[in-house]
Amino acid sequence: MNLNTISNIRTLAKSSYFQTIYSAAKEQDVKIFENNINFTDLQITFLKYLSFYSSLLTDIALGDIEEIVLTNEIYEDSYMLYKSKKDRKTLASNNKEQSAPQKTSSWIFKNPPRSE
Amino acid sequence: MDEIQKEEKIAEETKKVNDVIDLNNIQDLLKKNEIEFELEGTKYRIKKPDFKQKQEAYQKRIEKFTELLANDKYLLEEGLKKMYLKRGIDLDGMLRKMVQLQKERDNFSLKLGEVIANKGSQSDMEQYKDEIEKLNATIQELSAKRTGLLEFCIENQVLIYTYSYLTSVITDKLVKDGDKENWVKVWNTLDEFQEDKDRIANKISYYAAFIIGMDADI
Repeated sequence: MNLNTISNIRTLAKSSYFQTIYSAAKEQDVKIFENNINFTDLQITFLKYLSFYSSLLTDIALGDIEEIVLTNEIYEDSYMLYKSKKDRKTLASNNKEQSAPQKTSSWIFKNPPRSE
Repeated sequence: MDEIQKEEKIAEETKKVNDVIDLNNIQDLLKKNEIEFELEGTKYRIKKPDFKQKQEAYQKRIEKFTELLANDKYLLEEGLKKMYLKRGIDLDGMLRKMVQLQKERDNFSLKLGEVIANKGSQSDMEQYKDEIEKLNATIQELSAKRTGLLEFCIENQVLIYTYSYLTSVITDKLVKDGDKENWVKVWNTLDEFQEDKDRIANKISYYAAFIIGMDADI
């Protein structure tokens, strides 16, 4: 797929028309494509961009970022790259906290419970 | 408005129209996996290959690969790379360079993303964007050069052959037969397609490439 095609796919995925259909498809029985299986490369790329722009537009609506991000694809990609890296870091640190042994448990159970 | 300005204006408007046409065509492709368009008074249709057509394309691919492999005149990608290396052209080195440039670009992207997330200044944003654009241009240049150099390896020739085969079987045109209209094949054989030097064949190949996509790499 050439860069012009990708840019066209992005324009369509960003449009309010397809974003509305995408939202409806997640909650109701609305189809984006005529086929439900055997998606083409083009369709899979389009689905990825629908999700990409849904997330980006939500952040703009919430006021997390300004609308200027939509003026250039490099801005859009850079923000989403930064966001995904930040989310991964947050997730990793949350997992670390959850998997760390509870210090109090060794104090409460001075002797480990016997196995039957 | 002078002649140059007029021409620029026309070019700008033509581009806008082309962009809209492309968008509409791509929208149809996405929804229906088929595209209909008119060229020089004839209506054409390209449809996603069905299972049988894909199976046939796979067989053709095997036949072509075996045929080229049996011929000492042709080289596999690895062999071609070794020959280029003897001439001082390091294709693996080009790939490593591209990966390194992509890492540099991603670092700039992360910095730019942070500026956007923190609602930083527009001048900072533009500065990072310019750096990313420069790196993207170099990466694209290297990629195009590398792809061009590898064009004649067996793997790429087989891929081109498979695209051509699929394009020839999935393209129909609308023909009037009295009061009726029927979709008929544009080319009856792959040879007919390959011999067709008409610019319509080029345009059709362009659209067909979208539909075939990964199917050519079965």
